[in-house]
Amino acid sequence: MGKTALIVDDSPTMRQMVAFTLTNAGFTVVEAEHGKDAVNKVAAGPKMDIVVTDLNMPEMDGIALIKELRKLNAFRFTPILMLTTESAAEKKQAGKEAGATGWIVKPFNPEILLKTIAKVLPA
Amino acid sequence: MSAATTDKEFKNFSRHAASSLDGGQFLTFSLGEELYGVDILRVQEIKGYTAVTKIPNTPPHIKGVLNLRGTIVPIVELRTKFGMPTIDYTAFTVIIVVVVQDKVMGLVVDAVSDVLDIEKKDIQSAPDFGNKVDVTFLHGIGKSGDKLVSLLDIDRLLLDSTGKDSSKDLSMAAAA
Amino acid sequence: MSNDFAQFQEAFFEEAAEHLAVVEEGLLELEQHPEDVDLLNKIFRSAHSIKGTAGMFGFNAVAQFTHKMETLLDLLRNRQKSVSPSIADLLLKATDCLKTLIQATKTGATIDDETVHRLAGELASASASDSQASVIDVNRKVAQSVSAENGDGDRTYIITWTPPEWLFQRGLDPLQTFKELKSIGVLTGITLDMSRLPGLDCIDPEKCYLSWTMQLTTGKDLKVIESIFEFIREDSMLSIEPVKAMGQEEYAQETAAISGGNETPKQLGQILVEGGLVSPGELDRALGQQKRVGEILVEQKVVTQQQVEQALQKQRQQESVAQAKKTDATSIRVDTAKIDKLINLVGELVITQSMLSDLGSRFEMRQLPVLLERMVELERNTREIQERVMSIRMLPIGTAFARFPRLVRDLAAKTGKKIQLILSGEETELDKTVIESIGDPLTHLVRNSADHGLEPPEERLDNNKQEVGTIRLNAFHEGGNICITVEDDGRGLNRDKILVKGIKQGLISESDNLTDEQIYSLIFKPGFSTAEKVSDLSGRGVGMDVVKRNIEALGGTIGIKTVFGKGTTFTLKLPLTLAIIDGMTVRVGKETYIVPLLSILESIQPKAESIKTVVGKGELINVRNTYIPIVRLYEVFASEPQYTDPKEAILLILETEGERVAVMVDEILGQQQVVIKSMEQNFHKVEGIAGATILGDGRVGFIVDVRGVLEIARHGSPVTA
Repeated sequence: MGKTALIVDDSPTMRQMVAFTLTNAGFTVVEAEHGKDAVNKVAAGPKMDIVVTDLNMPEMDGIALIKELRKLNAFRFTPILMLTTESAAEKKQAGKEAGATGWIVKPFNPEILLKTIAKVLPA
Repeated sequence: MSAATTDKEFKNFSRHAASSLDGGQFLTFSLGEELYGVDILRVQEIKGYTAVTKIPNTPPHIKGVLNLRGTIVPIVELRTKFGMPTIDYTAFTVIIVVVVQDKVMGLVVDAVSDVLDIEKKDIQSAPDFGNKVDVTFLHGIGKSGDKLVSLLDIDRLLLDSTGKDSSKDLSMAAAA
Repeated sequence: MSNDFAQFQEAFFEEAAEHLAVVEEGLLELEQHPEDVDLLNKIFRSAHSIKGTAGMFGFNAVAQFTHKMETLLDLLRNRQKSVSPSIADLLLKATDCLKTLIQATKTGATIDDETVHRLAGELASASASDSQASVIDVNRKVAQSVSAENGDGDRTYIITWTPPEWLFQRGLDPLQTFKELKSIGVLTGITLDMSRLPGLDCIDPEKCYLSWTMQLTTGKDLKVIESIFEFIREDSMLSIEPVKAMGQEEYAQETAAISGGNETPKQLGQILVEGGLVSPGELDRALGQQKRVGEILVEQKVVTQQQVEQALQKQRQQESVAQAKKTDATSIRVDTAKIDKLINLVGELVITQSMLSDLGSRFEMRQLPVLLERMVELERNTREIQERVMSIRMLPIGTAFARFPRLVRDLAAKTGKKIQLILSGEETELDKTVIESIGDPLTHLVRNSADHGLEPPEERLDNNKQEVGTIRLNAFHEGGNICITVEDDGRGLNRDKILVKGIKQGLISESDNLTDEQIYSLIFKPGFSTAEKVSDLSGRGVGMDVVKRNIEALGGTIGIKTVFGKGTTFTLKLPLTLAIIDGMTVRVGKETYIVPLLSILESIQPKAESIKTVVGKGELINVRNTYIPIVRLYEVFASEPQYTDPKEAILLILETEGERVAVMVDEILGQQQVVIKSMEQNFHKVEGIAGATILGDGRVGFIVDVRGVLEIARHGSPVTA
């Protein structure tokens, strides 16, 4: 309870859907439009318990964001999940190399989202 | 709240399709000695008469408009609409607010009297008086005990009173 | 489950529309800059977003079609293919098709399958040669995963797991894995292998040196256990070995359960493509020829034609019910910062309110200054909230401009003219409803400029003009209004020809002494140039009356400036918002009216000598040596005034479409912002009245439509009592 999640997606609809699901599950949600926005938001803001990020985004894409976050002390061990359309191995590999904890393949439903988060989020 | 609205809308919709000739509950009111009825499902509320704002350059039966919780609602004086002599408003004078599809309109009547159940078998179609009496706005006439109730065709009445081009609106109503 | 997301469908459709605009705009720009990778990335991202989000709602037709576009775009942005005119054209066509597809998904309308399939096929074959490799790749992967899943299920498994050293650096925690394993069965005999743990002096606390062996007894199948290691499997040393064998029958059931599991079954074609048996192009061609299921069944005599008809009937009914359920609600996306600010303001309002009610409960006269101070605060607060709320509805006009590059491109192609379009002021903000309503009038004006304003290249060269004609769209704020100009450097309007034509059509008489402005505004008269073609303004008037009407319906005005041979500029002046206007409240007898402040030039109490009459009746007032006609508002609105003598009354000097008129009222009550309420919602448009509003005392007041009042004064009311 009382956990904070950072949601990064350039699609407002996706952002809304993820935020809605997480808010209902008791998370405090911080939204960001793209990597740069996310980096700015975490610079001053509270510590995140989990990050859910899209990959294809303007300004700074998901892979670059994950790399940036992993450089920050507060995010070294934070679970980071990436949202991806393809289950393509290259995408996953790139994410893993950048430091992503795991992935969720679109389309997903709220149940899958929460289940995957539970998988990586320490209670 | 939304569920209730939907339910009401649904009823309105089904009513609309069935027409009040099928019988049901009617809110009755008086104009002089005569008793009229409107399908109760069309009635949104009944309120005491309050002063209205007159709309310039409109026919005399359009009394004006009223602010009903933020919406502008036209008020029709039924006596004038039916060509009956006007009388001074009394404490019994009320406005019956009716809804047809999405439109809201108020009817000024002498007094409300009762809610009556009128069965289909007690309803006959409006008699034809030729040109002498205009029964365009009646669906039919119903019997309840020894009372005779003229049942209003509220769609036709509303479209005719508040539509801009009544002939067009009527044909649309007929097609619906 | 996934229904929880259904409430966001509306948001998706809005977002998709924006992405479509980005794609279209981008593709048009791409024709000029085919090498622009940033641009390609932008287009790709938008297509990708549509695909991903459409999939979330199960809009598979949209997702699949977008996927085809995306594939081609991906090849383009990776330079595996270059942008040719035919590819750009194909992508534009596909964008149109996608637009229709999304619209159809929204409304539940039927889709022209043939076009969709044809374009899908074209897209596939445009990307075909290069995509072969990825098909094979998929094939290999499928084979791999099949062999991995081929172990037979059992109830107890021995799991040996050595996670990669960098486990923690990816935010993973072995503890989570154990918890999850526990959640699906009984975990016993966990043995920790610390053999790889180095000495304390060289230990890196951020690395994982541990391995585990454990026993899991579970009712779940192997696939579920493997999925627990999903994020780490490929990087771990992992073995999951069943201990006890299971009956053959049980296994068969289990396999069936797997294949009937949560994932949506793939379509036959998809499986064939993934298996490398057919190419996407072949599949699309096959799909294009595919007969409907009903037809096939009838041919095979499985069902009768009648049964199919009945089933189709049922399907249609279901569709129409589903369609009826769809609401036509519109929504707006708002920057959270705007909302935060608003919440703060409402907070202040609540504080002010509580202070006021506190003051009111034990009020003494000596506290009057405090009360007044609070009232001022309340007023400021209210005004600020109002402004903020209004700003929520404000959007940049760029969204309305977005369609023009495409339109102009198509017009240029059709007319054989060379046209460049210059847009500026796209960031100018105005009300969403206004933006939505000006699209059509603007399109008409741009179309007119391209069709009739600009000359063909040869003619331009003959006249020492640049070969390429220019249409310029500009938006800017001016006072409380937004101005939009549509400017072309074409041939301009021919004053004399319009004059001749106006006289011929009886719109004006030869004796009229008209200003240029009045002459040019003749093209806004209904049916002005339909009767006969005047070579250099052919068709220019067609529909201009409609444009004018639309603009005026929005409370705006339209003006023309033109220089013969040089070009024409149309200027639209529109209110920023349709919801609120600044008004002057005036009284006529017992009635209160609101006159839009924008139209008021001044108000005067006339002196007897400044009022003159012509032909015995027409009254005029001399305002600084200009005679302005007087309109008595009580006459126009057939009401009872307090004063019938202009000397006792007040004259408001109003301006409408360049004309001045003095409107006579009894009294000016004050100035205030009023919220416009629709008369049409429950009634119909009333001549001379622009709308209604709720006055301070709760009664209804009417907002005066100055133009309409002037028309009634001149020609009488269209509806007489």
